[in-house]
Amino acid sequence: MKKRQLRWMKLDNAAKLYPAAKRRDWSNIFRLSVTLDEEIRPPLLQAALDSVIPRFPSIAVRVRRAMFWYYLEEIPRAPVVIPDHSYPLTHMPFDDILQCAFRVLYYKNRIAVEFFHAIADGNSGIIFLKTLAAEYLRLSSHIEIPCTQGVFDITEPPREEELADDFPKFSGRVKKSRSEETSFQLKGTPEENSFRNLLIAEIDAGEVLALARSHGATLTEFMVAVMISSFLELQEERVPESRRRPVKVLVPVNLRRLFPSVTLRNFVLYCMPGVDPQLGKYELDEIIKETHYQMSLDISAKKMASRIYANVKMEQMKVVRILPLFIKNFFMKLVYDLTGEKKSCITMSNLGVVKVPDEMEPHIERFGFTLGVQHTSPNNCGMISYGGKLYIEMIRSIKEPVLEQKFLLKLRDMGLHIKVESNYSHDQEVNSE
Amino acid sequence: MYCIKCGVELADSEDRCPLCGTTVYHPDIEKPNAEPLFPDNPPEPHYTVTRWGGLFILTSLFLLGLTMPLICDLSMNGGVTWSGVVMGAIGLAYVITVLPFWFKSPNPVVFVPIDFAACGLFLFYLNLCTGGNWFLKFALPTVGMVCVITTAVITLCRYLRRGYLFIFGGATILSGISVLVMEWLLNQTFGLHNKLVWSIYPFAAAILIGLLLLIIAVSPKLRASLQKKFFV
Repeated sequence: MKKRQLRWMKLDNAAKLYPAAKRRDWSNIFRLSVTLDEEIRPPLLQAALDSVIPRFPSIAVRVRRAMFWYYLEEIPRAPVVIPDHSYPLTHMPFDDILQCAFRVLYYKNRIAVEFFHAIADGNSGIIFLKTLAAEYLRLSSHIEIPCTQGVFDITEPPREEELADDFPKFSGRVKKSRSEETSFQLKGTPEENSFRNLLIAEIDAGEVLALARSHGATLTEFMVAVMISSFLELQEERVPESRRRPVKVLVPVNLRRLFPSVTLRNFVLYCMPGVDPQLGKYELDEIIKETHYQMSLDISAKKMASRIYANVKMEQMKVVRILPLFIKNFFMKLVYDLTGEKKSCITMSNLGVVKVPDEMEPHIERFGFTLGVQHTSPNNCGMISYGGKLYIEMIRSIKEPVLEQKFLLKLRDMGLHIKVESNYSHDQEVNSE
Repeated sequence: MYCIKCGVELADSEDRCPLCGTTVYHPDIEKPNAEPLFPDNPPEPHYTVTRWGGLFILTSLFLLGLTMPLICDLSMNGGVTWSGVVMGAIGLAYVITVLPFWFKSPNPVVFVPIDFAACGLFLFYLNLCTGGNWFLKFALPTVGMVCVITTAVITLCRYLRRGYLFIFGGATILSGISVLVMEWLLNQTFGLHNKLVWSIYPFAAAILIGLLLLIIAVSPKLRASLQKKFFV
């Protein structure tokens, strides 16, 4: 039998940094999960995964090295589904990424997929997860699920536009980049054995949205403002006034909302709203206004196109292209280490409201979205809404839940009802300062 | 249940509030059993170079270090002359630095006497090579003395896990005495002097330090006062 030719593709513009930025004990990964109404049966999950991966040739891939760049190569068969670990986003060694750049895990009623960021962003990841969950439900509950609301038809071949790197396509004509100041970095006692503490806060999405609107902001802007306010207080407690740095939050922007793209590759940029405490003391209302105006100004198709141009131009420079991979890696890593993680205090990514076909809804309890921590900054925050609930997933690599305390208690003080769940408060002490 | 301190609702799986650590307890409500958010399934530790791989590389390097001088010596002198000393030194270094790591949890109480035994053997070989008669008279008693003191300190520290001031005080005094014995052995073996000359000074210093440690050990008040002055 003739062996199937495996598809390969270049890394997209945003993804090029991730393999270079990796470390021996860290790589940039994120996790999406779905909790069903029944215990997961691993053989069925494996069967569902086997059926789903041919539909996603840009996600079911491994990273490979070439002379000048990394590239993605389709994997011939699905990875084996594995039981979940004690914490999310356990280290994904680069040797594993060279074999398969994502993994599928299960625990009780939950299916989770952990992606190396070079292969997908949250929006394409959620399509993959919904399609996987739909296929699993077809196999386990024998229900017919229509291919709508982001559930793909796995009998269809993948479309070329889903596999395209859309950054060059929507690049502007002028370069617009702004230099960012180094921001405040929270420090704490590192967890042993790379343990990651995860705290999930569940809030009524309608209540938060109403509160955000009453302050003249969107839900994301409001949450980002509360986060900035929390960081400002933490900095006030720890750093003398003259040495206080700007507090900024990195907010990924889904470019599919600004450009007509259906790609399943990375297609996100970011904006970085924040305030500088050297300018004076900020009240929460001021921070909300600042955040609202900064984000409104930054998130426009034209501005994003000009920033895409800056990135794409760099990648297309002939001098850069002919440099061997190890030299590129050295410089990209250097730039990433010197600047990448220090420009913001935290990443806050809101994946928005997840919708599923009506037939799936009774079988799905909730969705989850966890960002991996950066190598140096210890906290990250992912948000996702489903079934009228907003889930805020706060991960940290340090022992002290100081940021979670500040952030969630601020929300509580504003009258929101918060339910919390964690992976660390069952049999161990909680180190709070 | 709600955290009485933070006011947030806690999932049924929580034993403590994940924000402040307050234990979940209500005298009238029984805490429902719920599955934890994540299983108790820590990931396998990931090593890019395994312990055995690292030891294999180190052993190979030591073997290379052993064979190179041997080959040079054989090709230049047609026999083992100076290379024996080099190989002995490399072997001794291997026994001290690498050998314990072949075991999962090497016990120093076992490996310290082994190190001293290897050291003794190496000195015995040097004695034979140089045609001297100092091994039995000087080297063996000296190595034996240091071995006994070191092993005693390590054993007591490992198994008693208390009384460190007594252990180190006693060991310092014994070390001072052993320096005296060492000079006496040197004088006897090599006929240097008829009386003790230099060893008096380290002996006096060791006795003073040792006694000081013992006094601190028996006096809780002095210990507390020193702790106050010198805490780090």
